Amino acid sequence: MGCPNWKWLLVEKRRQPAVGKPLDVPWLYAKLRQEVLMPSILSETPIESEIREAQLRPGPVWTSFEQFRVAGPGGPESVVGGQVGTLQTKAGVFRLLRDEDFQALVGLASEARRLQGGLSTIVHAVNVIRDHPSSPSAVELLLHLASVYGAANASLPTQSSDLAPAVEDDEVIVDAAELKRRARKG
Amino acid sequence: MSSAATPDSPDAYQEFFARLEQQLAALSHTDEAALAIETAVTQRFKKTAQRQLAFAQPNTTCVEPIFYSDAFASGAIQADEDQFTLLQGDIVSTEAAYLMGQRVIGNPMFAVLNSTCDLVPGRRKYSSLLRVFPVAGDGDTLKSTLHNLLSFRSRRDLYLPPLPNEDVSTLGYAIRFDGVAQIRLEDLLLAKRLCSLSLVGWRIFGSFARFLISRAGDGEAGLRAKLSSQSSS
Repeated sequence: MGCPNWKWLLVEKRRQPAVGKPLDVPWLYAKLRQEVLMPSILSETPIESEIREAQLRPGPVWTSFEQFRVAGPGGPESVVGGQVGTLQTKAGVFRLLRDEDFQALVGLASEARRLQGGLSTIVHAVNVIRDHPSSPSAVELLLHLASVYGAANASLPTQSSDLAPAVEDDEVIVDAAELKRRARKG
Repeated sequence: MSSAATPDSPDAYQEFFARLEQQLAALSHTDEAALAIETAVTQRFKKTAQRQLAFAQPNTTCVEPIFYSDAFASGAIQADEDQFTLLQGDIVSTEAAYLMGQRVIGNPMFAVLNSTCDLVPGRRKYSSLLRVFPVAGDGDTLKSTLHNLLSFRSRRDLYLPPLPNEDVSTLGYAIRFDGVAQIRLEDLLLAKRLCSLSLVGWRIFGSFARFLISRAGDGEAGLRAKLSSQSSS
């Protein structure tokens, strides 16, 4: 599922509580959890999959800087993706990890900081619904917020469709190895 | 005690701003730099392959990341100048950037759009990035892509050759001047640096960046001039 099925939920919400009756808050919460919050914020976004990917495992341990130094380049190389190496020195304990794992952690930290604000806004919207349970616009606000803060995905490169064709007598190098080889000759 | 500022006559103001506009006309909105790139490359190298070979020469436009410590040790920068962690135009990889409110993941590459002086820690809160895509495709599509990129006619994408010492073989990259991603400066400073730009690479990048931010369509100056003369009469 690419995005939360909030339109369906809106329809269901209108069906469920009879007109004039207070909104069934537990029902709404369950639906939100099932249809919007859980899929979008906790499951559908790359966040949960990243958390799985970013689960770091213990890696090699060096109990002194001397031990680390003697290991040479093989030391850091032995820290594979997903692992955290530990270097214990007199100055303190240092952790060693691959750059792709580090970038994933920085990205997650950034996302978490962003979601902190989003969740707080959603909590405010929930409070509005608690105070005004029969307000459809309050429910729509909550659903909207959930969908806004729940959406996050990767932007992938796309091929341009408005490219002018290469002219017929043009010469183009389409092999990366050939480009490298011929460039060296220059 | 200084006297309170008194307004000049409306005509004096009008004259001042008219003169300022004339001074800026040849400076603020010009595409001469981008045109110079296109003309220089297409006149000197007739075929795409020749252009590919020219840009693939080591250290022409892309160089190994430039570090402050090396620059300082070589005397290229003085002790009283700002210490830098990143430079404008650096190609970086980070998963902490957002495009249209969505975080971009999957080891994406970006070019740093901000001027270097804005990248000093603490000087700004946010930075702007442009997405960088590897050149990809098959057959005629790939040829068309390379032909277009290396003609420098489109100002939407700027060609970059394969980066220095990269592991994966590629035919090059495109910096996309369409859609600006945002990132907190503190996160950007932790990004993985892939390459910096040489002096000419930086000039080319700056020419495209300027074209992105301020360029004038054929009739825009006339349109504005006419509207302001109507409103003042």
